[in-house]
Order: sequence, then C-alpha cells, then structure tokens
Amino acid sequence: MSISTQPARWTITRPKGVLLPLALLVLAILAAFTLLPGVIAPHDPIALAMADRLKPPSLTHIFGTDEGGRDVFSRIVYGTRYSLGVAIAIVFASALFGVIYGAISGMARRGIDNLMMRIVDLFFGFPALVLALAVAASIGRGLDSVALSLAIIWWPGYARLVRGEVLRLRERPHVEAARALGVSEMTILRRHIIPFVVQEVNVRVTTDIGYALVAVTALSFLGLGANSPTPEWGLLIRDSRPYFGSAWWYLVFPGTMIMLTATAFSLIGDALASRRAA
Amino acid sequence: MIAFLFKRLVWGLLVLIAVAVITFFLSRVVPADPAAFLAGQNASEETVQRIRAEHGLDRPLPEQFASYMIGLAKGDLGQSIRTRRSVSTDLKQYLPATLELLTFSFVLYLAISFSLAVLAARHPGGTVDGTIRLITMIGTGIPVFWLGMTLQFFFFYKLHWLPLGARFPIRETVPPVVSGFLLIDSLLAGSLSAFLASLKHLTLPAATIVVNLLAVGTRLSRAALIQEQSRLYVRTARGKGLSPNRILFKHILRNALSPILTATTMQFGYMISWVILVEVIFDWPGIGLYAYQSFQVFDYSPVIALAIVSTAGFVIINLVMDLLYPVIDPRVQSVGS
Repeated sequence: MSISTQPARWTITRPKGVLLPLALLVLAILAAFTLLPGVIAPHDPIALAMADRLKPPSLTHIFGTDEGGRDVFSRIVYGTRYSLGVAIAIVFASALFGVIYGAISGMARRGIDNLMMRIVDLFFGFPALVLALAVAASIGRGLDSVALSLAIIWWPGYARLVRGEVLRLRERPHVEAARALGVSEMTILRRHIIPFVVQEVNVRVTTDIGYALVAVTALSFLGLGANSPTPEWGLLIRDSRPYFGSAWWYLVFPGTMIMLTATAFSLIGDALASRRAA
Repeated sequence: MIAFLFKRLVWGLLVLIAVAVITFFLSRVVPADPAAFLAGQNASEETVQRIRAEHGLDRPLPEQFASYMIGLAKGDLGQSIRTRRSVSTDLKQYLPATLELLTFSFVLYLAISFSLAVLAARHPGGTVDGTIRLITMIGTGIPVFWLGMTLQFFFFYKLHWLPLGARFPIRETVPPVVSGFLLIDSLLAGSLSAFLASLKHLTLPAATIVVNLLAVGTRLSRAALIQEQSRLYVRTARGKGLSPNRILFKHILRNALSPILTATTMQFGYMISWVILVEVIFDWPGIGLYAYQSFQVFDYSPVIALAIVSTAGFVIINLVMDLLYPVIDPRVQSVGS
C-alpha cells in the first residue's frame, strides 16, 4: 500500500475514453426521440392492435409489443417527452427558484439569512420522496402534480448550494472592487456573482436530471402520474406488472431506457464537474 | 452535551410540526370540498353534511387546525375509509413488517458497503476499484422498482429459487408474535423452517433496497477512506512498520467513521422512500403497501399518516446519529452547536 496521490473523488479520467462519448450518444438519441418521435417511431403508440398482443421482439417490433398489441419501442420513443420532459422541467424550476432564494439569502442580513436557511434545513429533515408522495396524492393524479410535488422537495438543495457560493464569492477581490467603486448590491449580484454561481449550478442540474427522471418514473409507477394509455416510462413498467413474467421485453426495455438516460446525465455531469475542477 | 441534546430535540419537534402543517394544508385546503371528498363519489348531500359536522369541517380553519394538532399529539391519525378502522390501529398492525425489512436491509447494507469501500480504497485506481466504481455508477441510475421486478423475473419466474412476494408462505404456521420480527419470532418458537421461510421472503426485497443504497454509500465511504489514507499519521504508522491491516482497522477506520456516519444518515432518508416502492412490488405487508393500497382507492389519511410517521422515524434516526458522533470521535464533543 503506497501513499495515495489519487484524488478522493472518482474522476472520469479513465472512463472518459469510452463512456463519455457513449453518454453523449445517448443524449443525442434522447434529443431525437423528443423532437422527432413521429419520424423515429415505426408504429402508433396509442392505437390498439389486439392481434399482435404480447409478441416478443421481432423485426417489425424490435422491443416487442404490450398487452394491447402496441409497439413497445414506439411507446418508449413517444414517452421520452413525458418522462424526460417532466424531469427537466422539475430540475429547471427548482434550480431557478433555488438560485433566487439562495442569492437573496446569501446577500441578506444575518437574521434573514438564518431564518431562510432554517427553512431550507427543515426540508432536509423529511424523507423527501415520502413527502412528495403525500403531496402528489393530495393534489390528485397527473404528471403535473408529480412535477409540482417533486419540485417542492427539490429546490432546497439548490438554495443551499447557491447561498454557499454567494457567501464565498462575496469575499472575492472583484466583488470588493466593484463595491468600492460604488456599484449597487443588485448590480453586483447580477453581474459579478450570479454568472459564477450559474456555472456551479449547471453541473448540478445535469446530474439531477437523471435523478429526477428516476423519481418521476417512481411516482408514475405508484400510479400518481400519467394515466394509461400515455406512454410515460414509469407507467409502462407499472402496466407491465401483470405480464412481465412471461413477457420479459415489456419490463426490460423501458427500465433499461431509464437507467441509460440517468447514467448518461450523471456521467456528463461528472465530466462538467471535473472540467471545472481542472 | 445536555444543551446540544435539547437543541436537537427542539429541532426534531419543529420538523414534525412542519410536516403536520404541510399535511393539514394538503388535506383541508387543497381539496375544494374535503367533506365531499371523504364521503366518496356517490354520497348524498345529507351524508356530506353529516361528515362535514362529524369531522368539524364546518368550523373556522384555525379551530380545525388546533384540533388537528391536538389529535396528532394524542396519536390520532384519522380514519381510513378503506379499512374502516383508525389509521393508528392499522399502522400498529403493519409497522413491524416495515421495521423488519428496514433493519435487515440496513445491516446488510452496512456490511457490504463497508467491505466494498475497504477493497476499493486498498489500491485506488486499481482494477478492483475501477470495477466497483462502474458498478456503483450504474447502480445509481437503476430505478428501484424496476430492479425489484427484474429480480422477481430471474429468481422467481426463471430460477424458481425465491418467492415472488409476501412476507411468509400461506401454508406455513406463523410463529407467535413476540417482537413482530418474523426472523426473531420464528427462532424464539424454535422453528427452523419458519426462520428459513421468512429469510427467503426477505431476500429479494432487501437486495433491491441494498443495491441502490450501495451505489451512493460505497462512493462516499471510499472517498472518506482514501482521504484519511493520505494523512501524515498514516505515513508515520507505515514508517513504524505496522502491518497494512492494522493501519487500516486501528487508525484509518476510526478517523474515517465520522464522514461515513454522515453518509449513512443521508442514506436512511432514501431507504425510507425506497421501502414504499419495494413493499408495493413484493407485496410486503408493511405501512408502505398499506398507504399505497389506500390511495389507489382515494383514501388519503393513510398516506398522510405515512408521511408523518416516516418523518418521525427519520427525526429519531437523525437524533441517534447525532449522539453517535461524540462516541466514535471524542473530538466532536465540543462542537455541540
């Protein structure tokens, strides 16, 4: 055992060679699914075709068919908009609110800052997903209520991150110089602090999209999200439950899609982080 | 120390009150007409009126809030429409199953994540480390519910090794309840077959939870170990010619334990969340499945009760962890605030 010179953090220096391009490829495919589902999907994602019920993967249905004879691949392609779209919306809304909240807290007087941060701390005292579940169940079923309930538990992480960054940046020479020149606090925040904070937030946003996707599909799986026959990924897995023992493709492909997407975002987030650290 | 404990207790109470406020708001203010909601879809106007009076929904909101809080303090979590019993009675019935699953998974998680982290930290950047890294990276992205179903597919449908779900086989005699943990109760009853049966039923649900926790847990424990390894005292110990194992277990681990404990506390929050999904998939008769079955039929009191109870559990765990810091690291003693 030699004295380690390795950084404590796992960097992607080694997997960068293969994994990062793969992650970017996954991202490109997802973008294509989102923007041009009609061009990519070979079949209608909603229309029933009972004659083709639960068919294993073949050349016409590469991911097989579901209990309504619908093409699983086409459903996954169309579902990208729902699952990934909601995940991105949640993370963007949380980041936006968190940046504003955190910036105010970081710039405010001590008493206000303390109070604002205690409120953030409260959220870390809850088991997050359970709270989201209760909120979503109370608001009523639907992807919009899933989005809202997850955003409610998601923003405090950003508020904490941003406030820490603001406190750190406030002491930087360029901010002090601006202050000495008589620049207003508002302008300092906007021109000299927020641009730096945003870089840090970008890394977090990228990684979080993957986690949010897993959370969205989890709530959908529990029946709180979209209604059938919406091809949302978590709902696909929920719908597969009575059949997957004999129809493995119905379970395997939607889940693999969630996993690939989440891993791709986390790899790219890692790459962004290590590029910033370098 | 006493002052610190008091502070933490007050904070825990605040967290609970916050949850109570949020849930009150959700159950009384968000639905347009909670009474109609409670009465169900086909209720007549008289029924709705009666329920409104019964639940005090005709009184002003602050008054409702006060009685809601008093009820909570007394342990009144409302009525379940589905089971027609009080939610707290139901919870008492379902809680042991959840606790057994949580405890079993947690012990398993600690043992595995620790061993993996030690293996990975031995030669940072080596093959073992790289393999573990890849596994943990993929593990983070696996949706828990999908993993559970995939395990069911292999171990039940394909290999027929393990049961699909539930906590205990129907044909076997359930041991008399002592602790509520079937593993313990079956041993107390001296029934090896019952013990093995409940162990078999526990395996897949626990494995599902553990795989997901491992991803993050191993990452953090490994980072803590590697950071400690580069400290000067480790170099000194090596210079003295101590064996690598002695350095690892006697010196490094003791110092790395605090950050690992912090990571573990965080993991509990996830564990409480994942257990709901796992109970649903494996038909595990705990409070998660109970809440799930309730909100499928628009019965929401159990869901809200689940949020309150699991927050209380999380608060207690946080408190215990806070108390553990000074035990594992005497230097923390003074940091009380």
